[in-house]
Amino acid sequence: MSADTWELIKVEADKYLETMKSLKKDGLDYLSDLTAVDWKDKGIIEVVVHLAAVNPGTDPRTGFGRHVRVKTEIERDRPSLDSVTPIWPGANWYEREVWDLFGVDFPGHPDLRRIMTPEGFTGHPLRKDFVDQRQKRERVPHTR
Amino acid sequence: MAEIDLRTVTGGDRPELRDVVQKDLHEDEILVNMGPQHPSTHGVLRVVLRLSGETIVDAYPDIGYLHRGVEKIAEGWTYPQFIPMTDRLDYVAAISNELTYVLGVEKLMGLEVPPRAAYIRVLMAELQRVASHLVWLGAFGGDMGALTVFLYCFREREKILDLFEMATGARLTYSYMRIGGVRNDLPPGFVEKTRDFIKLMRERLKEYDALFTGNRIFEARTKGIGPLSAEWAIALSAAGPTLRGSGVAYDVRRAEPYLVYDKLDFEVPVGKNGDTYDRYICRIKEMHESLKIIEQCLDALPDGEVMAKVPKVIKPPEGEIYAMTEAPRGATGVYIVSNGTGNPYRLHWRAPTFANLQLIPDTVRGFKIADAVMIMGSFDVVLGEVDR
Amino acid sequence: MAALADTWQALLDWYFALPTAILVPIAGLLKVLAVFGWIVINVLILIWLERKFSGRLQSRLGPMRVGRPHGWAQTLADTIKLLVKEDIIPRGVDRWLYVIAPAVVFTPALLVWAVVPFTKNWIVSDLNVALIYVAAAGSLAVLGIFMSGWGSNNKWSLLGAMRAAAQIISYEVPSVLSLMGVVMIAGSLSLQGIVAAQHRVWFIFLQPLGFIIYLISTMAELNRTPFDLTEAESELVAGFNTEYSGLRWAFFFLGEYANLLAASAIAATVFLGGWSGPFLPGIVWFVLKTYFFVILIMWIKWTMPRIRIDQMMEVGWKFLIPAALVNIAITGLVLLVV
Repeated sequence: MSADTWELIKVEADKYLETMKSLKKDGLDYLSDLTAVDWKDKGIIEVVVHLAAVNPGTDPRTGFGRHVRVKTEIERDRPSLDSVTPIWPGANWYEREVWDLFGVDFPGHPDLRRIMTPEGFTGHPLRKDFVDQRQKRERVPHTR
Repeated sequence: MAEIDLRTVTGGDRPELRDVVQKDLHEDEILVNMGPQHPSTHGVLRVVLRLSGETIVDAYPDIGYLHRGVEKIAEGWTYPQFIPMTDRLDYVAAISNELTYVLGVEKLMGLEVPPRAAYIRVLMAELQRVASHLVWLGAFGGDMGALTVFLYCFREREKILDLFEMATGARLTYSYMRIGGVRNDLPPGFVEKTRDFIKLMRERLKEYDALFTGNRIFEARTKGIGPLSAEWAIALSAAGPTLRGSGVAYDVRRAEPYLVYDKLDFEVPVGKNGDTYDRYICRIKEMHESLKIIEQCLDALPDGEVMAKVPKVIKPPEGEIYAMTEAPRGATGVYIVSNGTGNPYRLHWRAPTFANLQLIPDTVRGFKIADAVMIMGSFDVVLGEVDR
Repeated sequence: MAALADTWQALLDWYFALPTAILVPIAGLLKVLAVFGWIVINVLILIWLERKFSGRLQSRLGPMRVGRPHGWAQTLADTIKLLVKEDIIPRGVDRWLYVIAPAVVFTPALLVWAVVPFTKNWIVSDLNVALIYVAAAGSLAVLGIFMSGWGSNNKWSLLGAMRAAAQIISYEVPSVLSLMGVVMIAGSLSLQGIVAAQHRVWFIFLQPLGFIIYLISTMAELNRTPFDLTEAESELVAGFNTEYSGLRWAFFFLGEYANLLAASAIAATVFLGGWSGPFLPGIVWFVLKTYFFVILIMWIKWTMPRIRIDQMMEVGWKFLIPAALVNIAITGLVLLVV
């Protein structure tokens, strides 16, 4: 098995949008994935984006060329990062998911709502320190 | 009569969603809840439709009804423990999910699988693709009111499930892939039975063609319905036959070959107009190609072990990996971050239909309800992997 | 045995001695009961037949367990289940419309049978404008469907009802027009008259175009695939009957099959010579021909995908009605020349 083949680009949060725009110009037109990792001990949340080049009409035998992983570290307490939805419309739901599960705000997103969790849900479950409020409810012990 | 409240969708809505769907609601428009309990949303997808008569003005997909927190669960489980969980993501194509996951972990560990195991994996994945496309075709027919097709497709799928049962002991959630190989070798008689199946399946595919492809009603219902341009499909991260139906020849099996796909000869079928009909044709052709691949695997199947030497306790080194495979629904990816312990630090699942569902509003706008059913059907939605 | 015969004779004597004012209503009532019994028994058979037939088409067996051989009692079991189910009237429905709609759907199917000739003598009433009566009665069903859709207070039901109104009204026109050719040849609107006019050759051979138009528009009026838009399961959940369950739903079901049977009987009478035929008694011919149409319609239902609403309207207005008019013109010309 080959190891990870994705070209890694680390970028500061304030240069994130700029970098993404130039990457899109470089032909990375396919947003494969957008997610986040909560590094609780370091106090940061890392937003990870996987981009690929899938030009229409590409010969499938030549491969899909360049593929890039973009990583951005943002503060865990007030996480906020520019939205890439205007660049790749497909990022819409991915960013909503990251907002729902990690609480990362994406200024510039057209419609940032919760997507996975039910109505009236509080908290962001994929954070490492998340405690489900519902688990605190009194439980009936198993009778013996 | 009792008042129908045409201008709301009731049922414990998220206030945010209510605000979105009711924004600028025109006098003549009504809001209709399609799902989460509706015969043709294939599970628990919910789409709020804004209708003017029977024409769809706008659509608002709402997901999360099957959210089980799989990614959170993964953080508490060991690497091998998570394999059965991947079966429950895209439950129509369980093998493909397992494959994605174990490939990811193997890449993370730098593990090489024995050649026989690699061939068996490809064989199984392609059988799974045929089975999954059959389910899709059946459901697609059902969406159109042609229930006979549904039963025909399930008849053939049954044969594949029999094969799976023979090899893995299970019919739906297999847990067959292991980190480092597959659980067991193919049982005696499997190869012959698979060859018989391929012969049968080729005959049956002709039968479907006769039922569908030339049917005037079928063509009227699918041609030109829900067109999707190549640019827009890429921009919205569409995947699988939905992307290829629009003419983009992006197939992970070709683009970044894994296992033995680079040694196999197969075509990547693409469509032209990106309408429902093209997506249908793509899937039908893919079934033919899968049969070809299965045949080649059977011919080339080497002897030897089916499991690599794997440590008892799987602890991948620190690092991260993003592994992709071409599942029946499209490019499935798994992003694993390891911190050197026995459990993944973070596991993210890129589901092809999650991306495809975003296409719903743009493709159904301006079409009729009946078309919306067909368009959503043509995306081949499995909510298990959308909601995770 | 002799005693029994005597009693029977006494009963008949008593009956015919009754004044006419009582005798006629009783005779009418008996006829109605006979027709009702005929419909119910046939619907039970039809439901079973549809399940077995579709099962065979789909390479499966259909019901096998309840009643051996071949699950003959399955429909009975289902009927009993539906009868004893809780009668649910959802909150918020328009009670009156909701309650009477199933009966309104079923009634037209019953009405049609008043003029259908079972044999030469078995006919409730040989109406001289029977064919017009049939068309009028047949189009009443849409009223019930619309009542149920409107009264259910459900958006899917409402959409189904709207479709039903559009569909049945626009297909009523070609359906009636397609029968006109037959009327012109037979020179009679009475069904007995039409059967008599076919003693030499069936009208299906003289009116092939009319027959095809009639078949298509009848299937549309019956709401059967490819025209089952009013209850299109995958689109409208269950269309107009989404909110119905138990006995009321069973009435819709009964109505659907009774309508199927009635339409097949009319088709058999008008195009296949009804009860007339060699060797076998008339009733046998009548049943055989009716079931031929029933099977034909079922076969089409289980083969075809569903057509879309606007496409269906197009077929109706742009193809069927012009074709029916052309058919009338051709028939008229031929009659003029011959």
